[in-house]
Amino acid sequence: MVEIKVRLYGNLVGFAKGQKEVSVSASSVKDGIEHLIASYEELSGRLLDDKGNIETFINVLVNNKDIRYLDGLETKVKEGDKLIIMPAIGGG
Amino acid sequence: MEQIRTKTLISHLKCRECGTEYEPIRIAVCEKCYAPVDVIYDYSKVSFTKESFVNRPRTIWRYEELLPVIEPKYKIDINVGFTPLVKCDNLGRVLGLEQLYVKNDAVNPTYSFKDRPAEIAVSKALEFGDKAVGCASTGNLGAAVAAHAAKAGLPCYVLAPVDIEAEKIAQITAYNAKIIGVNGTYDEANRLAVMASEEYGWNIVNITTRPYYVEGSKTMAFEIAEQLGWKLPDQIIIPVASGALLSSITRGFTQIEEVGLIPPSPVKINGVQAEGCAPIATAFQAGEDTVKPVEKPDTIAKSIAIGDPGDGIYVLKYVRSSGGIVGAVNDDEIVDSIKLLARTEGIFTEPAGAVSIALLRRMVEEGKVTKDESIVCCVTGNGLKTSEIVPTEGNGFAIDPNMESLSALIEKW
Repeated sequence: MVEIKVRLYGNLVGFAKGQKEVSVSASSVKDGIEHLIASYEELSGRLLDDKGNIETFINVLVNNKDIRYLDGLETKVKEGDKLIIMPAIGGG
Repeated sequence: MEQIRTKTLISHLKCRECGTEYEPIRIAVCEKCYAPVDVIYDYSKVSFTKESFVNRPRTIWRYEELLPVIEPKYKIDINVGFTPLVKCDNLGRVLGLEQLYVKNDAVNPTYSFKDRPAEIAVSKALEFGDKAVGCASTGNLGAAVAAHAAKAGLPCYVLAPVDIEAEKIAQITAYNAKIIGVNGTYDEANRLAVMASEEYGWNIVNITTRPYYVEGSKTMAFEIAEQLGWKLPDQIIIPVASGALLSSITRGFTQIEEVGLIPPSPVKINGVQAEGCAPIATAFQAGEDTVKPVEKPDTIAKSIAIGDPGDGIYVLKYVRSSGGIVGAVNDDEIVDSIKLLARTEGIFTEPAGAVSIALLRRMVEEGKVTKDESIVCCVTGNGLKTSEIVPTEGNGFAIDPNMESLSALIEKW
């Protein structure tokens, strides 16, 4: 486990007691998100679906890279990595 | 004092997935599930008939009842919409089709269909009291928002991939917007725009007030129906990037049925992408309900090079339920189709507009359209925005100013 920063966007900030950026311990994206939810229960049900997958309209990035182009929730993280979690607002 | 209102019949907003309802507030997505939110109108107050439209302005504002702007003083109007629905008899003869139409949105004020959503979005930005607007763009929306911001007197910030066409950069710059060239894809520019909207409070119109923004695009559906004599075509072909245009046109067709302007009429909705960025077409062909994004789009149709399409799942749903298809065409087919449309009908479109013609040609070959069906191809942007795509070599150009040189040139043809 290492310590990583998590930056939240949109109303997710409100569900993390108003904190835009928090630190969690993690070895992968998955347990980073699980630890985040454990610390901020109001985020429960907003980031992961019933099967434990990322919700359809949520994007997760590691160091600005979408985890769908990495190993998804199994993507490994290292000390100092930055996780971004944001509503997936379609542009175009 | 009673508020002076437009004729809008706006009632509320409703989440497309979980059904949560909202007042018509400044909102990007559903606060509960982050899905798209739609504007809902109160049809019980409809008092118009087909005849009501006869003397109305020849712009998108002729459909004011079904647009979300509430106060007339905030309406920005640069003569957008009511673009020609061109009966294409020459192209129809080439393809063996008797009722072929092109909806020519290349002739909007900033030369693409994006003027439609931009006009509604910037009007709503004024209504919400925003002090700055912006957008994430592949170029066309940037120009459309920049022009409307100029008219509205608002500063404008456009985030776009750095490699968009020079013509589009020039146009955005001319309208005095700040253009931010992002070393990356459209999706990366879009994400940065989401962050910027929070950080700086800009109304990034295709993000911050997206439910209203997409309402502008559905006016293309209203116009097509009205221009066909208040009926719908048998088929329509729509270029697809994020899929928001296809969703909006589908909603537009549904709304005019719901308000009683036309009887329920089945339309095959077809979507088309470029092969170098075809996540929705790939999902369609594989029978999937979800869309796997494309990390690095690679196509000359830069306007529709969106690898992670926000409305992708809805395009799949609407197209399938209508009996249409989502196809993908390659760059060679796109260039051929630009030339074919220009040479037969005198309409010069950019690659993203020509994809609809390219798919039509495939559908003819594959028997997916019959000669007596009415079919509309949406041509969404102007060829002058991408002038390097059709080379000028071969048509001759420079000669000396005498008859000998002219004759020599003509003999070569």
